[in-house]
Amino acid sequence: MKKLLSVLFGTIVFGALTLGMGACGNVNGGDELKVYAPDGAPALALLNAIEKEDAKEDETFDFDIVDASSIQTYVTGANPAADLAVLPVNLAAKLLGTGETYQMLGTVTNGNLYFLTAGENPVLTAENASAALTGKKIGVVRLTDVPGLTLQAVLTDLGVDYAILESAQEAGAADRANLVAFAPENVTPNGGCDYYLCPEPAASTKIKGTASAATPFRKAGDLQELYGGSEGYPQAVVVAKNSVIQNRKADVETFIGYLQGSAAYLETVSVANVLELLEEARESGLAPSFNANNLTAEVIANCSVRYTPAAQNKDVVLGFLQKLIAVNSASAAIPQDRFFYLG
Amino acid sequence: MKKERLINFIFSVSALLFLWIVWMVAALAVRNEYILPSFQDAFSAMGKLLADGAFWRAFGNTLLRTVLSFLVSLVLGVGLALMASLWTWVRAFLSPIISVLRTVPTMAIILILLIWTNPRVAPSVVTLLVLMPAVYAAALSALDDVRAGYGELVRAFRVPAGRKIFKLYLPLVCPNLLGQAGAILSMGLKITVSGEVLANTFRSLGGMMQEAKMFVQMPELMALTLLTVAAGFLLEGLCLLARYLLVRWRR
Repeated sequence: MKKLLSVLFGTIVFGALTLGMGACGNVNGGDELKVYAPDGAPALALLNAIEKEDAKEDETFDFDIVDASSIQTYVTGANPAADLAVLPVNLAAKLLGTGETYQMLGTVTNGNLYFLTAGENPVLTAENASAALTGKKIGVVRLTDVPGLTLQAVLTDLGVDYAILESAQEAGAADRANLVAFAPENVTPNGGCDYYLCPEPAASTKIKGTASAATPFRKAGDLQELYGGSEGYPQAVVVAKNSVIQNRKADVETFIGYLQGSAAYLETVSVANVLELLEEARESGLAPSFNANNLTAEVIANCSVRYTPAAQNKDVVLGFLQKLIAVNSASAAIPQDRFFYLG
Repeated sequence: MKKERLINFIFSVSALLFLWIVWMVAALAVRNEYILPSFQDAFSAMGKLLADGAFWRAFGNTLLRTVLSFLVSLVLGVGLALMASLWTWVRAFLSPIISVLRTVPTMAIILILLIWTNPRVAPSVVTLLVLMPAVYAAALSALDDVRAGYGELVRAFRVPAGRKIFKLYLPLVCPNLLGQAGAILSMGLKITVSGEVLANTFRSLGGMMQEAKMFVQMPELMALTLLTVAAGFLLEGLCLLARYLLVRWRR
C-alpha cells in the first residue's frame, strides 16, 4: 500500500511539474511584440527602437539580444517565438526564404570587415587589388563563414585568383592571393600574413593594441567598399511574421520608423548609453560582444548600421546571395519573391 | 555461458533501440528540424556524407591525428610509468605533474595552444596531453600489480634490468593495457574532434561540424556526430581484436 501511494504521489508531482514547465514555454507579457537579434553589430540596429520604447509608458515591443549561434531557434519551428527578428541575410534566406511565415522588411547592417596590414603593403582599392594581393597571404577571420565567402566573392569579381592554405607557414602560390583561416587572437603583425581581414570591433582593437609596437597595424582597406562602393553589402536583415504584418501593420510601420532613424541615432548617442541599452536587452549569462574596452564611436560607425527597405534592396540582396552560393552552395539559398515585404 | 552472452547482446541492442526511440519522441515533441532533426533526415545526410570525398579526407585527417597522438602518449605514458615503477623518486616527481595534466580544463588548453601553435597542430597536442596521464595511470597500475607478483622472484634471481623490462614487465602489462586502449583511443577521438571544432581545423571532422553548425545544417551536424561515435566504436573493437590476437598465450 505504501509503495502504491509513493508511486501515485510521485506521478502527480511529476505531472504537475511537467505541466508547469510547459506553461512557462511561451509566456508573453501581454500584447508586446517579441523582437530578437544576435549580439554584435546587428544588435546596434535596435538601439534607437529600444530607447524610444523605454521612454513610452506602454511598450509595444520587447527586445532580446541573444547568442548569435541560437538565433535560428527563435524563428523556426511550429510556433516561432520571434514576432520580429534581425539575423544574417544568408540564414534568413535559408530558413525563411519561402516567405510562408516571415517576410524580410529590409537590411539593417551593411558590412563591418576591414583589412589590416603592418608592413609597407598598400591600401587596397578595386583598382590595385589584383596587383597588391597576387603572391600575398591574407589571414581571414571566419574564412569558412560569410566574411570569408564575401572576400572570395569580391576577389572573383575583381579577377583575382586565390588559393586557400592550411596554415600561414605553408608556402603560398606566387600567382594568386593566398587565404589562410585565422582566429582573432592570432591576428598579430608577426602572424605570417601580409594582410588580415577582421570584423569590427576586433579590427579597431588590433590597431589600438599594436599602436606602440615596432610594426603597428593600420587599416588597409574596406571590404564593403570593394564589394559595393559606399553601399556595402547586405549583412543582416530584419524579418517580421506574416501574421504580425497582417494584424498589426501600424506597429510594424512604427518599428520600421525606428530602424530608419538608427543611423542618425548612432551618430549622436554616447558609447556608455549604447552599452547600457545593450546590457538591458541582452539575455542573462551571455558574454557581450561589445564592452567599454572595444566599443568606440569609430567602431559604431564602422559597423555600417543603415536601414534599407526590401522594396529598394531586393536585387542587391539576391545578387549577394547568389555570389555566396557560387562560393559555397551550403551557405545560402535564393528566397522566393514573397519573402520580400514591399510595403 | 553462450546463453548469458546472447542475453547480454539482446540487452545491448535494446539499449540502442531505446536511444533511437528517445530520439524519435524528442524530434516529435520539439517539432523543429533546426533544433533536432528527424532520424530520416540525419540518416539521409549520413548517406550523402559517406559518398562525399571531402568527408573521407576530413575523416582520414582526424583519425590520423588521433592515432598519432595516441601512439605518442602510449610511448610516453608507458615509458614514464616504467621509470616511476622502478624508481620511487620518479614516481614522486611525476605525481603532481600528472595531476595537473588531469585537472587542467581541456578547452582552456586548446585556446592557449591556438595562440602558441595553429589549428592543425593544437587538437593533436591537447589530445596527447589528455591521453598521456590516462595511459600513465593504466600502465603504472598494471606494473605495480606485476611487481607485486614477481618482484621477489626477479630480485632473488638477480634478473638484469633490460630482461626484467622487456621479457617480464612489458609482456605482462600488455593484456591490461590493451584492454584499456580501446576506451583511451575513443576518448582521444572525442577530444581531437572537440579541439578541431574549437580551432575550426581545415579538412577535419571538427571543421565540418563547425561549418554545418554555421550554416544551420542540423542533419549534417547530427550525421557527423553519429559517424564520429561509430568511429569510436570501431576503434574500440579494433583494440579488442588486437588484444585477442596478441595475447593468445593467456588463453
